[in-house]
Amino acid sequence: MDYFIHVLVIVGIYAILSMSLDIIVGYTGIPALGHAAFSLIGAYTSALLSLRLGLSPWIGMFAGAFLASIAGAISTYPAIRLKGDYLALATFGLGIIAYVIAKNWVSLTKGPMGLPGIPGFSLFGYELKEVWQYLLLILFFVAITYIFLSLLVNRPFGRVLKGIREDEIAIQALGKDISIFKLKVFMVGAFFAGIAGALYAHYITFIDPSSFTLMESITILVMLIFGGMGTLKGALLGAFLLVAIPEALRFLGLPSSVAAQLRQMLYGFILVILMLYRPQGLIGRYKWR
Amino acid sequence: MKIILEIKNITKTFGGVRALDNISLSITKETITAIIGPNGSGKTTFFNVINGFLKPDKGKITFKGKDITYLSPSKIARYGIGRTFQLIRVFPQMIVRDNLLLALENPLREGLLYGLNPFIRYDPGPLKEKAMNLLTMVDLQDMAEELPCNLSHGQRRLLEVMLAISLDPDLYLFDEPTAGVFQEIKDRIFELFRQLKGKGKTIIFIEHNMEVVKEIAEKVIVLDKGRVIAEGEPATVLEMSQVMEAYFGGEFA
Amino acid sequence: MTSQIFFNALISASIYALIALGFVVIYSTVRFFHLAHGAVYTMGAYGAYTAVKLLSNSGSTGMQAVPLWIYAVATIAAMGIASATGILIDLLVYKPLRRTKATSLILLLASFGVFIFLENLIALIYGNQILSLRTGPVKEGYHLFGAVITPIQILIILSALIMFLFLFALTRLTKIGKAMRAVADDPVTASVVGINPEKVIFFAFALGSALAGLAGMLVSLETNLEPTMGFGALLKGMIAAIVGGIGSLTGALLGSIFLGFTENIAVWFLPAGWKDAIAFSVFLIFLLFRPEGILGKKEEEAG
Repeated sequence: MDYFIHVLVIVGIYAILSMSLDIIVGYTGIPALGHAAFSLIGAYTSALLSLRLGLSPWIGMFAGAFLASIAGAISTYPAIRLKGDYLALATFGLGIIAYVIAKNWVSLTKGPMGLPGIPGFSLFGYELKEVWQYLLLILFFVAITYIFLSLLVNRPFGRVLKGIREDEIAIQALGKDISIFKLKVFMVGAFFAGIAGALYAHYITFIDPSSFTLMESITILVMLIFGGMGTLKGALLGAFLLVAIPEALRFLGLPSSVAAQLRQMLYGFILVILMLYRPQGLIGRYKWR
Repeated sequence: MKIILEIKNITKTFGGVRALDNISLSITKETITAIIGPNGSGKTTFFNVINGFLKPDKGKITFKGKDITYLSPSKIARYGIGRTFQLIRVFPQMIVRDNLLLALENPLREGLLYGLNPFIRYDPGPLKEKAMNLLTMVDLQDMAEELPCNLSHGQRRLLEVMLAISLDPDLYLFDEPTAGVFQEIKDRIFELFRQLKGKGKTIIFIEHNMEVVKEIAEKVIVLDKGRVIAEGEPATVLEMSQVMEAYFGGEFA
Repeated sequence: MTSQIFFNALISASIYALIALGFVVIYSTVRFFHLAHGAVYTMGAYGAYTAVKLLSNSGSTGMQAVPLWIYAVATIAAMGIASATGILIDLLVYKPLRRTKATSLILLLASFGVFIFLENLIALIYGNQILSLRTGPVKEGYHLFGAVITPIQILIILSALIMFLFLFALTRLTKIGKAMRAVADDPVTASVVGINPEKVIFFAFALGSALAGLAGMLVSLETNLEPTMGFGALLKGMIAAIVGGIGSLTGALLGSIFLGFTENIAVWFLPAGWKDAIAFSVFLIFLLFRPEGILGKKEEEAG
């Protein structure tokens, strides 16, 4: 039973990641392939603040999300000057740099050894220990993320984002400053990814750079494309299906390393099929152009 | 007789080609000016430079007294220059009415904090009404909930023009607004031109059809190979031998 | 000390060049980033490994040196398997996408999918452990100008040079080579003149992938095999190609030299793990400020 709840917790974390990526990729049309870097920053900041300074994970999480958001602002620079595949390459270049720094700045992050023993969350002095308690916590954050992002995309801000996606030139001719909008959307997307990263860190209690590789960024992207870009429900759907279904593979009795390989192969295969036959995914409102 | 747009010594080169060669001219407020010239003479490039989508190599552009030469396109739009494009630009995955909402919305409500604020209610009602009024002006109200791809070419062009009008700029740059459009819609567009002028607006438009130019334009500027080769009243200019030569005798790019 | 850095830089540059050249051959005809090239590289390496294992039917861990002819066959196997893989990827994935007029971004993403799929397939079949292509006792390197350089490293440098000259000659002297340059320059005009772009693309994939296979094999002789080897290799090769000026063979060579030397000189001051960060920083700087690379020309405005 605990195992199923654990899977749902992971679904929740990816749901936040997927939604936060959706506003950048699905609503604004920016091919951002380095999203894992933002959750890396959120995770490490929160973990380090708790471990080294004894700060509460709640503070750590917001600090981490805030720092991630600043990193998001940096991503805007390439997003203004580059288009299409060159932009994609730049964003994953940035993502890899974050990973390489985490891996090599050993004095800060302990590099590939990772950070063990990260404290869990506490609520009103009571430390959360059970998996179902974490599930409630995660669901709370998923709901918060959904509510805020939903507000954002349905308000005029979201309309401008879609305008940027549809025709950058036309929307500038209408007087909208696309650089500022791109900056803001990256900051918001990165913020929530940072929250997800911190939640992950305090739940699993151990992080190392290998959880935040380029493959992770692509995984989140595939979940988003699969569920459907340009709609938050699509992001949720994609996260749920592509976390839950591969977990079912475990029940085929395969050794875990084989299951890991198969899961990756599945993602790769799905990505190809989506590009070939259904770039809008299951319920998406946007397909790559 | 105020000058609203002043172009001084504008030059723009691409690779080896001089698309705009030391162009200088001025546009008077509340006039309708046509820009004509053979293909490749630099007309669209000229618009792109005014609008901010291209930066000139040299020269200065002054609009309403301000130097706008190196400003960003969105800033120039906000100062009061509206634009339509040779190839119609509307927002393809948003319905017609939402296209207009995008143009009509109060910029103060487009901010991030307003977007995230759960304590206020956003009511698009009044704005939607405004959009419907604009659509009714051009008889497009029945298409309000359609996607642009379901509109005819002429209707899409009307939508694009209405988007520019929603911005309420002082100067309009229309790039071949009636290309490939039915006479009926052409008439509607020119009627809009006259109405805009009546409201104190200034219009510059690129056109290939000489009949239209004679009918609507108060002044004509002829470009060829990036240079102004003639300007003046339509009747006079169109008779000029240089203009004939540019179109028929000279080389087409 | 400096001569060692020089040689290390040269070796790095040569490895990158082998990958970059193949990558550029393909890019110049299809105009998108074929990231799966990294997986093709890995296929080549594992193909060579399988060939060696089968032909020498060694149950032993290769303490006895395997005869040279087996390595020759392995090289052919590597290039053949890689070439076939590249062609298949094009036929099954890229060609259908080309027909739907997919943008280069969509092709890049599809390419990623293929890469992930193949890389994990190899891991599934061969396992995650590090395998070795070397057999026999470890050979000592030669001493040259105060630096140590092994025979394999010399082979790598020579191969890169030979491949470059070969490709250069091919694209300038042969019919198919000139056709490739024509398609790279302007595919529309090329087809008007009667060149069949699909045929040229097929050939580009065959040739470029074969090169990747060769690179894979040579590098695994030098540094062993593991399923994830393709990723880093591809990135470096792609960075080299873009930095030098994507679309040109000389650009690929220049970019490789630039990258190889920048990395190896910088590592003098920084710990070795930062090598990748340097490569990516160089990459980002070029993407943001000079996307056309050292040699490239700026894309002209549509005007």
